[in-house]
Amino acid sequence: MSTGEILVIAAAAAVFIIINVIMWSIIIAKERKNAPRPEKTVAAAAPEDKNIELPDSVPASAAEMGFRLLENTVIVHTDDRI
Amino acid sequence: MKYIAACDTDAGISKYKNQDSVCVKTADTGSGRAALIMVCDGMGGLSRGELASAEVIRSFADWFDRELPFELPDWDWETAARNVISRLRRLNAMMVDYGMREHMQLGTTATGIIAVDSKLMTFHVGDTRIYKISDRLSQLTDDHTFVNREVKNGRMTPEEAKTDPRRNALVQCVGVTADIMPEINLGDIENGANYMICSDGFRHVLTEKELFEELSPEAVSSKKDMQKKLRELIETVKTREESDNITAAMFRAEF
Repeated sequence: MSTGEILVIAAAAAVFIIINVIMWSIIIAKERKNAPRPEKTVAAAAPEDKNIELPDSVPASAAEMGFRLLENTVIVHTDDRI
Repeated sequence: MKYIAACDTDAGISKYKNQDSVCVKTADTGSGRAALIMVCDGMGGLSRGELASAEVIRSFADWFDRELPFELPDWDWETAARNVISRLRRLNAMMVDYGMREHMQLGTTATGIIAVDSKLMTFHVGDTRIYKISDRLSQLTDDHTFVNREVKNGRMTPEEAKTDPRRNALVQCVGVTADIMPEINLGDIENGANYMICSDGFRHVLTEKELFEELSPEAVSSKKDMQKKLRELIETVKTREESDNITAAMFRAEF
């Protein structure tokens, strides 16, 4: 094999490698762009999380008996009911 | 007599929705004190965990406000225990029925403390835990998990249970199976001890030594202390990359 032929093969190989590198860079960039956002990022904002504190519902007749709430924290995360 | 209680909850770093629900109620009953401290961990793998946990918490919170005041004059712990079991079974049946009608699965753990004066009842379904922290840390509830059952039956070692892929699988929770067998215990409140209820997301990445040191009666003796420590521990859990929702409640009686 002559020196010229070797140079042609080497140049073709180099071009092949360069094309592959460019092609895979584009594919990876596109995949990153299209990938779903990591849950961690979503959680930081927690846009759909509702921290609902419920009021007390002690009836007046119970209050008349001396029943009085001192601490009342009820936290749920939906308004929906079954 | 003084009751002190606080709670905190956080969606955590991975989930966009908090499926846990929590309730802390204390009351002056006219003749003493009463409290309801409860944590429900909605099942992450099920589609409406937050609805299940909210429904159970709402039911017990309503009972505390609307029914307990009228039960107190004839208060009897055995009757109260039967009523708690009935309420949990009714909620379970209601959720199973709702899930079938709506073609969805929903479930929750249900773990709490009911205190009246110097006595308490613990009730429990699932893997949420109750700890008593006095001169040492004691776990008052049994995890209703597959691996815990296997360990108890001698079919698995505790070491194997820690890494078994089924370690989060529950053998019972509210809303999934046809019937449930709530775990109920009655006892005296230990004066000055701290009681803590927490979801598995709170405890997974904390050691028992850390829980004891951070929540001991000496370290935490006021409502302000409780709120501060619970928030600090939740932030610690988040830095350790726990992926679950994180919820804890504390209770202490002094007499």
